[in-house]
Amino acid sequence: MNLKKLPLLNLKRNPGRTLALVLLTAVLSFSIFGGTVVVSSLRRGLGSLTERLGADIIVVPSQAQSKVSFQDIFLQGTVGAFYMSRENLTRTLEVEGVEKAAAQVFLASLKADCCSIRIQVIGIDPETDFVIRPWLEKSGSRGLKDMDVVVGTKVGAEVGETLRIYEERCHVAGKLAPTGTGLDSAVYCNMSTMKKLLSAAEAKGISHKVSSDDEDVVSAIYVKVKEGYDIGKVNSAIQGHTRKASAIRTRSMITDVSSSLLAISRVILGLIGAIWGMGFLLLFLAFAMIARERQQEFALLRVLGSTKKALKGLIRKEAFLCCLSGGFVGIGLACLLVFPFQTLIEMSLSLPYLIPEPSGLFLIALGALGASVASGFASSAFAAWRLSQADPGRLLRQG
Amino acid sequence: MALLELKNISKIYGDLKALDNVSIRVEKGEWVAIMGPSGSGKSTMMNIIGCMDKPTMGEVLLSGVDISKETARSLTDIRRDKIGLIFQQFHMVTYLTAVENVMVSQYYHSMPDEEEALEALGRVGLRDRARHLPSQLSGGEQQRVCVARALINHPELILADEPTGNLDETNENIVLGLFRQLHNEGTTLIVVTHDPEVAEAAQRTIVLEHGRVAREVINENFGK
Amino acid sequence: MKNKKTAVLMSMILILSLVAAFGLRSFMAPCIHEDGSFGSCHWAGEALFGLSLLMAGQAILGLFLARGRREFFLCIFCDAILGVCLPGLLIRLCTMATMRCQSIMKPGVWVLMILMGGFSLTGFFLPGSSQGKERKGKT
Repeated sequence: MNLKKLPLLNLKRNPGRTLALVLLTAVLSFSIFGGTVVVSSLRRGLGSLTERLGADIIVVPSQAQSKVSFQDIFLQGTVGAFYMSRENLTRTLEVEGVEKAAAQVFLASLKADCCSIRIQVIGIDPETDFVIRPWLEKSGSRGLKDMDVVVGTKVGAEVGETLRIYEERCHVAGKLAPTGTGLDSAVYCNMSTMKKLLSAAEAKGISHKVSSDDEDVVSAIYVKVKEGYDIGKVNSAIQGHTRKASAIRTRSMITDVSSSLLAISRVILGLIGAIWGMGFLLLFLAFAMIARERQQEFALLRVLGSTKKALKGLIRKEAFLCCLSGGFVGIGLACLLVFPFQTLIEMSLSLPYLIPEPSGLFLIALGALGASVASGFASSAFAAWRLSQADPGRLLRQG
Repeated sequence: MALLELKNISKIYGDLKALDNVSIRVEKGEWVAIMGPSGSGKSTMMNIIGCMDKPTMGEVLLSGVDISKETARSLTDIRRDKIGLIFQQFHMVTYLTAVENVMVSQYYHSMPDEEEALEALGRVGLRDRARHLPSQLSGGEQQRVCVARALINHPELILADEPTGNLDETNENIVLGLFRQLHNEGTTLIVVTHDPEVAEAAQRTIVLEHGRVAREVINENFGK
Repeated sequence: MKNKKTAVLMSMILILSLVAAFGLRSFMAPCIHEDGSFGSCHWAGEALFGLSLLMAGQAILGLFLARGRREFFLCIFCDAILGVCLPGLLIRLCTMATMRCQSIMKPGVWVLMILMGGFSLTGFFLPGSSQGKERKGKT
């Protein structure tokens, strides 16, 4: 027997007490890790949204209930389509202060191959697009040929497979990196493919025409404002110059998301704080009770020759072992919930949600582990101090 | 030179004089019992002799060295190196086996040696119970483990506080038999007790009353 | 004592496998389609339901036949691996990650299977798991 193993032996031979302490710390690390991952994912999602939007103004048809429908598609992956005349693209480009404008055409599929779900199809013009194209390039997709589609990360089709949209066979040419937005649930194609898909939809009785003589339609126009121009003024000018369209400043959309995110983050952080506070108090009480229960054992060790410092070290080591293992258990359990259920969490929050990079997750895990161990040390410090101050002779005579 | 000498020691708690100018002398190899009613100062004296407390006044000489002015850290070292303690309530580390409890004492003193610890348990007749936890041992067996733990480091002095207070007659006789054996091997024993039968087993009995030495009795039947 | 530990682990596995079986018929059920048809996720759900019942059966046997408990732990561990691989890898689920089979059934099954896998692996390596009733009382 080695005295260095004394804390380990105590923990091993008091399994009930050890389990209680480990579970208590597991709750702490679970709440810290799980909560922080969710908050970080929301923040990263907002960052991704800002980056992905890439435009200052978005022009959508007035019938699309302005930004609400668009926001649903963009943020939550709601499937939908709305159209306006392509003439609005020309009109937008005519407005002073517009640096560039790119159109997108939306189409909601009825049923795709192999699954009974509607998919949002987005047609882009690779020549003028500045919103989706950089993302495609970043994900390593080599252009969009006719009848080629690139799928978002949440679409379960793999590269090389075929997706059937309105009976048209589309070849999956690439898969995009996650953005944490509704764009992850969409399928992207070029305008030529989109025209074929629109015709196929037409054949199925789903019309996209805004009027009988106007077949050339767009769903959204992304606008980049020239530097030095007031975005608000350009927005108003576009609003006045286009027909049956609403111009939305992307900033207002981001502000909406940002304020929702702030509210949710506050709730989550509040919960972490409450759980942590409660857990810390319980740990403190647990260590105080254990100290009371073990005061004769410590008095005995003092009488046998242990110094006060060594006794404090013994308690700290026990607290460290309990809290470290509890920390790992808590993080493990949080991983089992936060990662597999990320889509469910995202859907429940209705906000952009992008899990941090592995390095970020590692840091969060390290922080949660550190916080658990630190709270164990802090909550056991009083017990350690009290035990070391007790009069061993009196305690041992008391029995 | 006496192994232990208390010279005019007093211990004062506020207005209370727990020990009042007490002087005693214990020779090496001697077996002394300290008796007295509750509040007579037995426990205070045990604490001072066992280096768990310091007197307010007076000198405590252990092997000729005054330990009354030593720091708490030095007293811990002295206690660890020179004194073996036995208590009424046995006091074992509950999650350690009998042999591990003995080895804890070895660890603080020098180096744990399992074979030596098992030998010590053998001396108190508990070698076969070495791997049992305190909860699996009877009161008498636990006290015998405590005796083994007290003697494992070959202390100059064994100090026992009511060692048979919680034992039945059979176990009391076993423990007193062990003390007799230790005494015969030259170990110095100081036993604090209420029990006249235990006190009679010693060579000499010091009776304390109101913090003072009331009388000393030499046990004429000792060794017979 | 060691036998008691493995029995506790086996009981945990039994509870989790029953939760999985019940869940696959209720809160973790695969996608339900408006037109009454079902996709491949339905068959993944059926396979997982059968696997969960098998694991529950193995856990019951493991509980009562202490002598072969170690082997049962190994079987359950293999089942758990199969359970993790079944949805998505061995049997395709619906295309969209936002669908019920992908967002609830698959992660739910994964969590339960990982827990059962963990418990069975612990049970397999626990020294008492190979001890049968014939060794009881020797210590």
